[in-house]
Amino acid sequence: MNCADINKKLQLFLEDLLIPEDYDAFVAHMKECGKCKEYVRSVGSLSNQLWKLGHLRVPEDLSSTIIYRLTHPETETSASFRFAPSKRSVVVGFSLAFLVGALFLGRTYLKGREKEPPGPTIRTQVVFDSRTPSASEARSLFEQLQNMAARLEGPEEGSSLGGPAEETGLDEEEGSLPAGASTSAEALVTGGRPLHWHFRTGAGRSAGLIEAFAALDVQWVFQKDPLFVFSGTGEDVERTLEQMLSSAGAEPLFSDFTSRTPTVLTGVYRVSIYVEDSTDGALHWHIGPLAPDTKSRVRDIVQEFSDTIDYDSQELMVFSILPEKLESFRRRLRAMRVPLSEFGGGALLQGALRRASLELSIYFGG
Amino acid sequence: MMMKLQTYDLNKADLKRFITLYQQRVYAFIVYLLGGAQDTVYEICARSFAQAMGTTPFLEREDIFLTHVFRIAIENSRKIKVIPALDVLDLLEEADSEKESLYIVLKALQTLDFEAKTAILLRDQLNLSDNQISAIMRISVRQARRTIIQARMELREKIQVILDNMRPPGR
Repeated sequence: MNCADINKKLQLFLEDLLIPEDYDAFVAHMKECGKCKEYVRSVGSLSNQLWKLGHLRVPEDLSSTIIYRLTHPETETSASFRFAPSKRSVVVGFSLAFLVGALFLGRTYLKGREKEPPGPTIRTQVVFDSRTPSASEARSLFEQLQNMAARLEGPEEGSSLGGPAEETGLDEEEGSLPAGASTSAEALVTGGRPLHWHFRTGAGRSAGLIEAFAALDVQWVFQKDPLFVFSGTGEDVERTLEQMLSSAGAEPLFSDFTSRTPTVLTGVYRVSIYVEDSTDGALHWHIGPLAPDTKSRVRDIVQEFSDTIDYDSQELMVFSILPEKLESFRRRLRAMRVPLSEFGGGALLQGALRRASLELSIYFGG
Repeated sequence: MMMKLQTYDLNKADLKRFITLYQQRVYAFIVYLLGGAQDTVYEICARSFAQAMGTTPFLEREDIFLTHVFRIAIENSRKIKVIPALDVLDLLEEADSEKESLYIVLKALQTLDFEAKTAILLRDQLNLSDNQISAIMRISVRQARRTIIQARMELREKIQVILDNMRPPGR
């Protein structure tokens, strides 16, 4: 069909009276010829008005959401989850939630009162003594007071940081201390919220970037090419990222894979960094989000297959396995049907690289 | 960054390009099928795309993908009840003068039943052929044709009613 045919068949098209072949040819021509399309669509008709209704702006993040859903099928929420509730259901919902909350709190309060274990009994008595105590009596009284204070503080003394939270820069919500951390320095190394970053350089340039990162004055927890882990407060993290970006120049592609990264970093963080180049990188997986029991099953698989485990934290495992075990290890991971993304390892998987042992890593987060 | 998606090794930019080709049509279709509630539309659109791309060889057979994605979108929208809203007109890339007449069409469209809306949108908004519409709606070509014609007649009647109600009384 050509432009002249469009003119001839316009009326039939607008009234939807074209035979199927002509209709298809008409629509196909409109797709190719912008002029005809504009002309046809300028004619007032019901069909054209419906067509115009279709010219909607689509939310900008729709394609990203679709890609996320594709790569994380388990995290798909049900359609009803996002539906706008009616005003009535909101009111009823809030009332119910309030009622349940009040009942729960009341019950907890009453239970707490019933079962509260008896605390240390402090007996007070009025000491009336008109006489000023002697130096030895005063020392003995002071020692008694010290002992009493020590008894009251009890076992908590050992696990405290020895200062209020604000002094160490830790906040209660995000920078909570790990169990067993007795000093603020130790807390920085083992505690904090995990963040996970990827840096991707041009072909064959990752070694330079790794060298530059290793030279940074950061509290490193773990360093093994191509993975780095460092710990620090929000300020440290922001400063370090700035240094990394500036020392690496404009080239590397930086991606933050942490889910729900806060805009303002407060508290303590543990940052794991994976460096790869555009042609290849070490084999690295992102698995999750996972329920705790599933996570421990993944860990069991890693322990079963790995030769050595170089680093193991809540969010990251770095380990090595024998090359002949790689395929069965990957199969086992895939068979778990957990959300899984694979990075790097192209040469390894094609068998181009022959090594005695393979350095692999898993980041638990999605 | 490579993503493993079934048998495909696709890079994110390619995926995005593919989705961008079709997302506008699917999104607009669901908007009018449901009659509003953009949050719900967004969710259904994302879900339908993910389901269709996860189950069809979308790169090799785009026609199959299109049939599949619309079919899934229809099924996902069928049981959803939303309160019709006219605020979707704010999303239109048309001049305000155009929007006045489109407002009436939209209002009339919202009164049609689900099947009629599906058929007329597939035909007039997306310009799909009778064969494609019958494949998407899982009905015969003849029945698809009949549904489209009836839907269009019904829509005209509804528009007329709205226009009549808009005229000042006594004229």
